[in-house]
Amino acid sequence: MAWLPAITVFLLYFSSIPIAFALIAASLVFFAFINVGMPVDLILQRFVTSATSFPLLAIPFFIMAGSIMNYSGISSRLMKMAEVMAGHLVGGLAQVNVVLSTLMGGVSGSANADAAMQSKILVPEMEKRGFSRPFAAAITAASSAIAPVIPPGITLIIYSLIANVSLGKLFIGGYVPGLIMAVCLMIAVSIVSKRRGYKPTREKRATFREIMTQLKESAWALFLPFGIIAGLRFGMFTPTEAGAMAVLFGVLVGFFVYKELSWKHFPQILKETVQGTSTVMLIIIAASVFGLYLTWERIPHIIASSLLDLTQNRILMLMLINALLLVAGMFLEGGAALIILAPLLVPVAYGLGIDLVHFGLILIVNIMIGGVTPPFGSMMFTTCTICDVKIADFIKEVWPFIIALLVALMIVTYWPALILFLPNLLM
Amino acid sequence: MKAFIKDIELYISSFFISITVIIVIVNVLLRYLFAIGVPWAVEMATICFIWSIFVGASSCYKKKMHIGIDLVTRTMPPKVEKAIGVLVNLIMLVLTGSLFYLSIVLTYNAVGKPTNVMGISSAYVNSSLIVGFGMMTIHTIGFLIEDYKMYFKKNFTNGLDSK
Amino acid sequence: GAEDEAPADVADEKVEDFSIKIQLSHVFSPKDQLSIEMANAADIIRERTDGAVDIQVFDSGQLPVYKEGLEQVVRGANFISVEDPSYVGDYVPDFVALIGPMLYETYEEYAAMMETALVAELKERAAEEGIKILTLEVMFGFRNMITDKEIVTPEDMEGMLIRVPNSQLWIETLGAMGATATPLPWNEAVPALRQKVVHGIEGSATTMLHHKIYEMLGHVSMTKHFLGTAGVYINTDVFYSMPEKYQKIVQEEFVAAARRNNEILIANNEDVVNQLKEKGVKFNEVDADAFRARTSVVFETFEGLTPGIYDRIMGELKIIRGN
Ligand code: NA
Ligand code: NA
Repeated sequence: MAWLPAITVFLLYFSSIPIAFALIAASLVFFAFINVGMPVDLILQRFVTSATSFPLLAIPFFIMAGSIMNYSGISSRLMKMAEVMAGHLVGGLAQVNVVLSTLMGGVSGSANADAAMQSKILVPEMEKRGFSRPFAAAITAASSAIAPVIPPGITLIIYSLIANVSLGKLFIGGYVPGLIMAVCLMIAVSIVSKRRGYKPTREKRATFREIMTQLKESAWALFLPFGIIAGLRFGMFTPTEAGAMAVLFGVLVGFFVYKELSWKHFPQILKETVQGTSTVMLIIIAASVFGLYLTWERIPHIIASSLLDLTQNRILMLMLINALLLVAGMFLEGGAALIILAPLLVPVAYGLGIDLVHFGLILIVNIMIGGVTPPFGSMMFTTCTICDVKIADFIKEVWPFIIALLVALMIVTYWPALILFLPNLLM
Repeated sequence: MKAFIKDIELYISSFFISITVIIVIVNVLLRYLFAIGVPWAVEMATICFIWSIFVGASSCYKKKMHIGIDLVTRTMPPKVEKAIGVLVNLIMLVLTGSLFYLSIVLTYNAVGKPTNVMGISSAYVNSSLIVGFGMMTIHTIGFLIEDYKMYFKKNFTNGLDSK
Repeated sequence: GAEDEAPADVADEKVEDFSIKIQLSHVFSPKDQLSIEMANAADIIRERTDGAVDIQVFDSGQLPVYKEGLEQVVRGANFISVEDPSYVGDYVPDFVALIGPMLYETYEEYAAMMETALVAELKERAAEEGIKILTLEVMFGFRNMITDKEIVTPEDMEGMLIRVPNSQLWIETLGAMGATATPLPWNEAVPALRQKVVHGIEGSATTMLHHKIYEMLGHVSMTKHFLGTAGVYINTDVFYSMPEKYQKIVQEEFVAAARRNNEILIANNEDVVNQLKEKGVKFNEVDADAFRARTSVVFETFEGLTPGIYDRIMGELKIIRGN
C-alpha cells in the first residue's frame, strides 16, 4: 500500500494526465484512503505554504527578464555578436547556433524557450544556406541544453532551494559546465560539417575592428550576466532580488538604449511570464505535496539507503545516477525531472561526501541531455514541432551532438576541481 | 469584450504578477537608495504571487499547456485513445472537483487565522485556491461536453492533446 | 488542570490492545540538541509503553512545521508539533504576550513563570482550542542584537536595517526598539548580511557561532529582547484517546527532554560566548530599561491580547524575583 501512490503517478502520467495533476491525484489517494490520520483538506494548505517562499519569486522574475530580452532588442544583438564570433568557422551558422545559445544562456534560463526562439529565427536561415533542416533542428535542440546551465537558470534556482545550497555559488558554478558543453558541441559541429562540406557564413574571421564595433553595439546585452554576478557578489541585492533587477535592467535598456521595447509588448511579456511561471510552479507545488507522502512513508530514506547499499564507490554511484537521470530526462521536462528527483538523490550525494554544488551541476547537465534524447525529450519536441521535422530524421542527425554532450557530462561529473574552482574562488 | 472574458484568468494572473514584480523592485530601490524598509513588502509580494499561480494555472489548464506526454496514448488504436481521453477527463473532473471542495473547507477554517506579517485573515490567501480549482472544474466540465458533442458527431478527431 | 477533563479510565485489557503511531515534526537540524532530545524522548516513550506509543521524529521541516504544523495539531491529526509558543498565539493570542519582548532576565525566571497559575490558565485555554501543551520549557537562549557597532540605547538603532523572521511580533518589537525591521527568510539572511543589504540580525550567540556570523559582524549588544523558547504540542483529543498511564509517560518524557536540553544549553552557553570572544567578537551591556520603556507598547498594540495581560505577567515576575 505504501507504494500505491507512486504507481498511480506513473499510470496517470502515461495516460496523458499532466505531471502536476498526476502527482496531486496520487497524493490525494494517499491522504484520503491510506493514511487517514490527517484531515485531507490540510494537504491543500501545503499548496499555499510550499509557494509562500520568497526565493521562489526568482522564477517569475527570470522568466519575465528572459521574455523582455526578446522584445527589447537584446536577443537580436546577441545574435549579431554570435555571428561575428563564430561565423567564419567550418559549419558557419551551426557554430553560430551554439554560440548564440551560450550567450542567450547569460540572459535567460529555459532550454525550451531557447529552442523555440532559435527554431523560429535561426533554422530557416540555416536552411537557406544549405544546411539540411533536420540537421539545423538537431543542433538547435542540442545547443539549447546549454542555456539553463549558464546562469541565470530556473533549474539552478530550483536546485538551490531543494538542496539548500547557495544560489550564488551555483550561479557562478554554472559557467564552466556551460562552456564545456559549448566547446564539445562546436567540435562535433566542425567534424560533421567538414564531412558534409557545410561552409562558413563569413569569408574570413572578423577583424579586430569588426569585433570591437559589434562588442560596443551588444555591450548592454553582454553586461547583464556580469551585472547579476557583480550585484550578488559585491552588493546590492539578494539572489531573488537579482531577478527583479534583471527585469528592471531589460526594461530600461529596451526603452531608453535600444528603444525597441514599447508598452504594446507588455501584454505578450506578461502572458509568457504567467504561463511559464504557473506551469512550473504548479509542478513545484505538486511535488511538494507528493513529497509529504514520500516523507510520511520514509521513501527518500529507503531509496537513499538502498542505493548506498548497492555501492559506496563515488565513481560507480555517479555513473548510476547519470544513467538514471538520462532516462528521467527523456520522460520529463527538465524542471519537473529535477523537482521530483533531486530530493531523492541529494541525500545519496551527501552520504558519499559529494559537494552539493558540483552535484547540482551534474544533475542539471544530465537532465538537459535527456531533453534532447529520444523518445520523449522535451527540447526535441519543441524544435521538431516548430521546424516541422520528423522525429526519425531528427534522430539521424542528433546522435553526434548527444555524444558530444555526453563527453561534456563526463568531464563535468569526474573533474570536480575544474567545476568548483570558480565558485570556491569567488563566493 | 468576449475575448476579454475568454482570457479573464490570464488578465487576473498578469495583474497579480505585475504587482509582485513592482513591489520587489520598489522595495530594493527604497532600501538601497533611501534605507527605507517596508516590512509588509515581502508578504504582499508573496500573496500576489500565489494568486497569480493558481489563477494562471487554471488559464494554462484551459489551454492544455501543463506539461505531460500523450505519446503512449497516441500509439494506441484511435478508439482506445478516444476512450482513454474521456476517462482522463472524468478523472480530472473528480480531481479538480475534490480540490475545489477541499479548498473551500480549508479557506473556511482559515478565516480567523492571521498572516505572519500583516495580520490579515489567511482566507485572503487561501481563497486563491477556490478560484483556481473552481475555474479548472468548470473547464473540465467544458472538455467533457466537447467529448460528448464529438462523440455524437461521430468523426471526432483527437481533441484531447495535451502539449 | 486539564488532566481532570480526561475521559473515564480505560480498562486494563484495553490498554493491552492500544497502539498509536504519531508523527513528530520540527524544523531543527539533526545535530541540534533539541533534535537529539526529541529523538531520545521518542525512544524512551516507545520503550516504556512496549511500543504502543510509536512516535516517529522528522527533523529539518520534512513534514509540516510552523503554522502548518500547529494546524495539523488543531485539526486532530496524529501529530506532535514542536514550535515557538507564538504559533499557539494564532489560537490563544496571550501566548504571544508570554514570550513578549524584554520580559525575562534569566532562564530561571522563565522556568518559574511556567509554574504559575497564569500559565496553567493559558494552557487550559489552548486545550480548549485543541492544543494540549506537553511542555513549554524548551529554551534556546536569549536573543541579542548582532551588528557591527555597539548599541546601548534605542537611539543607537535609528536607521539600522535589521533582519527579522517573518513575524508580526518581531517586526513590532524591533520597530519599537528603534530599528527598521526587515523580514527575510533565514536562507537569504546570510547573503543579505554579506552584501550589506541589512546592517545586522538579532539572534542567539549559538546562531552567531554556527552560521559564522562573526566573520561579518563583530558586536553583540546584550538586549536580551527575547528568550528563544519552544513548546511541544499534541491534539487534545488525540492525547486523551491514549490510556491514562501512557498519557503520563508521554507528558513526563517531553518535560524531561526539555529539561535535558536546557541543562546542556546552560552548560554550553559560556563556552559559546568564549569561542566568539576568541574570534574577536565584543559583547556589551545595554540600557535595558530604556528598551523596556519602548517595547511595552507592543503589548498594547498587538492584536487580540487580553487587556492587562502585560501587568499580570509583570506581577508574576515581581513575585518570582521577590523569592
Ligand atoms: Na542554439
Ligand atoms: Na541561463
